[in-house]
Amino acid sequence: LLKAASCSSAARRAARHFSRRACDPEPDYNIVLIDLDEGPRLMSRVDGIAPGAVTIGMPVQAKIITENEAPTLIFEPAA
Amino acid sequence: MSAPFPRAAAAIVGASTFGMGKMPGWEASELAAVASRDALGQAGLIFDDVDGLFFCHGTDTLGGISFAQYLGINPKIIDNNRTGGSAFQTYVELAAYLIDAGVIETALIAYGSNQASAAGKLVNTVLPNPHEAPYRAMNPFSGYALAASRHMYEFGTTKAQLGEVALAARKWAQLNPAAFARDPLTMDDYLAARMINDPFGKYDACLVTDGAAAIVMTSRERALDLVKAPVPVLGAAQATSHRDIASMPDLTVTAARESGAAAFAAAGITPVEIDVAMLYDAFTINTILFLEDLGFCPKGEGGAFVANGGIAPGGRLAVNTNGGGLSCCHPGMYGLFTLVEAVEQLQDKCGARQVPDARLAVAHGNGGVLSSQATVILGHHSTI
Repeated sequence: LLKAASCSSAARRAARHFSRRACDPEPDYNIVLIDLDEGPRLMSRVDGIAPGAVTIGMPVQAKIITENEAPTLIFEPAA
Repeated sequence: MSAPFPRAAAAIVGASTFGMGKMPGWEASELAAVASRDALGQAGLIFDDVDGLFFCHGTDTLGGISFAQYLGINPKIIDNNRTGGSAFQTYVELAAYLIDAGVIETALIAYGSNQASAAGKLVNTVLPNPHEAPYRAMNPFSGYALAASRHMYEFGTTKAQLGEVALAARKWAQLNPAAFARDPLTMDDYLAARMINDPFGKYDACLVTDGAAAIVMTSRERALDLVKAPVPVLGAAQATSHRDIASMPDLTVTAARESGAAAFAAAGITPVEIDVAMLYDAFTINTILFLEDLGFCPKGEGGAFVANGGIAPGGRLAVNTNGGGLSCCHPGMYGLFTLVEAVEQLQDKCGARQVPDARLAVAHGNGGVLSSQATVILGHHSTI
């Protein structure tokens, strides 16, 4: 099992310098540091769960998805 | 084998800021040149006296020689080192060794940025990490947010304790006429601010401003000839632990533990003796981490240390008395501003925010995402 070492959900809003009413915020997403059982730590994202529901220490499992036409490593809550 | 730091062999004889806030129409080098002129002028020196130039420019990687050309000088030594916002502390360290060795006589350490007027945001000039880019980390914001999240998880540090750091900075800024953000700020305002990068909202992040700063260093003997109150450099050291946040060995412990221990050892003093602590506050968590790692309190107790106005005016320790990166200014790289404020406190020049009888100060710089740490300990002219 792998564990989330830290997590932060980023509420990113496009074009901060323009009128807020004119632009809808991008959806929240999370940024997570994952500790692999083998030792290394890496940055990734936990999908399949609300961005704010990711917690430090939660067990996760790796998955490779295609995003922006590139294979991308993400994690999902461990079954 | 390592050479001991040359304690008090060099002293600061001039320190100035210029244009903290918004300076539309000014170039970075113009801002830095005015601060440099003013700092040199305090010691009766001019640009031609500078034989060691330490400078980095926000976007010009040859900024050191560009600035020498702009000033019309041909210094013997130019250092253009980039460790991020801590670069200026590393310049002080190196300049002290060079002055002690007799290689240079007059060091000018300068910085200027027009990033707020020119770009309207923090200008990012570093290579993106291909292993982070797919996850859309908002650097440097996300790196510090991850460290803060871990600190809260391990030690129970609270959002309100982060808020204490922001409120204290604002209260100091309100005593500093040159600070940029002086509006009232309450804990309710802080807690209600829009979340940007959990656990950080807007008041957890440093300002984006223009601004310039400069300090001038020379030998102790010459310093005593030039000015009434030279500020001796008692100790300086740097350390690094990683570049990218995923490579930080422990998200709650910075290399300030090493740089601080070495700088305090060189100075021959301990943290309890410090009167003014200038700690690079790019984000609220920084202040808490550096209070712990420099030895002002045990690891994990930084949140309690800042609680109940602990670092606000009248608190247990005077921290970031100019208002810090959070409320005074943050023109991209801020380390030099911590040094100028420390010098001004030790020269009794700080008016309403003056710390009475300030004799010892620490100016701590931070670069990258908690990546580079550099600590300078400064003394009072009476200690020379």
